[in-house]
Amino acid sequence: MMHPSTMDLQALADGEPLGARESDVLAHVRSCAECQHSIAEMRAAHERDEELLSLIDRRLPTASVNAVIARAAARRGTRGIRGAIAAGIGILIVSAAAVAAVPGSPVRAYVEHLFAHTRDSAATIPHPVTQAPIAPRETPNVGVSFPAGSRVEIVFSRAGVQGRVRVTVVDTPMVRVTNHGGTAAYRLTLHGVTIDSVGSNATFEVMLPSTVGRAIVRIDGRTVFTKNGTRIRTTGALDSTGAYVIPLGATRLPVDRDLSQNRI
Amino acid sequence: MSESPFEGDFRAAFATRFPELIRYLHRLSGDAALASDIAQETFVRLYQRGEMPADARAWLVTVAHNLFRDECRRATRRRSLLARRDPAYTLADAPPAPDAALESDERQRAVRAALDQLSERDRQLLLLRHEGYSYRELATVLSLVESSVGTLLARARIAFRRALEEKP
Ligand SMILES: [Zn+2]
Repeated sequence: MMHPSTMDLQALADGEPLGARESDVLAHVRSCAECQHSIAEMRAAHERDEELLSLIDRRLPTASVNAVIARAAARRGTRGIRGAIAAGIGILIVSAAAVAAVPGSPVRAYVEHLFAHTRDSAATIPHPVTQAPIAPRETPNVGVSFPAGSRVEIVFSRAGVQGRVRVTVVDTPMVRVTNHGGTAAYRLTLHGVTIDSVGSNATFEVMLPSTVGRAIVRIDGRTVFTKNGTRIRTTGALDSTGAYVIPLGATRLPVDRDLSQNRI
Repeated sequence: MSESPFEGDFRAAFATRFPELIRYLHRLSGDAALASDIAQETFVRLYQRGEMPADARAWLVTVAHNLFRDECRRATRRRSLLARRDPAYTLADAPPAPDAALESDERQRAVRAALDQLSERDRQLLLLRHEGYSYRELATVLSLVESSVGTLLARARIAFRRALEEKP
């Protein structure tokens, strides 16, 4: 028999069935060193590709099945993401996963707790969540994410001396608040989230969808950022990455900005 | 409150399929946050469906592709935002030694660039094959004739390797 086609050899290398040809092809390959070599090469090339592809893998945000179920349940009888949040249900937590995924880690306990809690509140009560989650000792890049409603409130309940908040207007449907460094506890509320920054020096990243009609960020009772349509008022300065940077200890008066003219 | 059979199946599917799906979507898009949003939304849709599809893996990836396409349609303005958004999701690992970091950075960028050079279908074919999809599953998910999958996959592999060699 002639050598089988490259495609047949590749299919064998990929573990694919060859239908009616299979027994003939296999019989040939068993007795042909050249074809065996080709198949080995094909498998090695696949392994090399996989190794290369895995270079771009990273530890990805994780989600809780409870949060996903809660979000699906919340959408019943409402219209999509907006409907869900309009009904007073903010959900969905992500955390940059790896640490949270370590069994027994304090972060995991915290994230799971928050998930479990949001699930209950999402399913039943259209009221602000009042139960405080367990504060973690260390939260490297942990945070919350929830579908944006027409109105979003982000409240930092305790101002840190050195920490800062970076607010970026983005074109995605989800509001995200994450922190790197420092310590923080997140609590979902009717229209957004309350963050207890516990006087830490964490940097908080707030991703605010441009579709949100009205958004407000407060630090320790002070309004430091508002978005009304395309109009932004903030005590923060716009940095080169397009983020409004607000120190957690900010006290200056708001400056007016219009996003429609100052679009990132 | 007892769990319905569907809910049990859903939880089991989530446990095995969510990590696969988000990894695949991240390889596909290069955007961790987008991959996370789409993977979660896909499972929300599965739960809303109320019953498990015959082939859950194929169903999930098909829905995820549709959501991804919707996102890409709104992408022109997003593109610059994405580049900036992604680093926020990097964990604060101890940084590797400078030389090693530089080299691995460069290789990562080369792989990303090579993937981005492929057509969407080639990228999907290649990456799904690396997720262990059979030719038949690839045909189903990507609406291809099964007998053409081998040839198309071979082309996608060659295109990827060539793009890597030709890296700038
Ligand atoms: Zn041979």
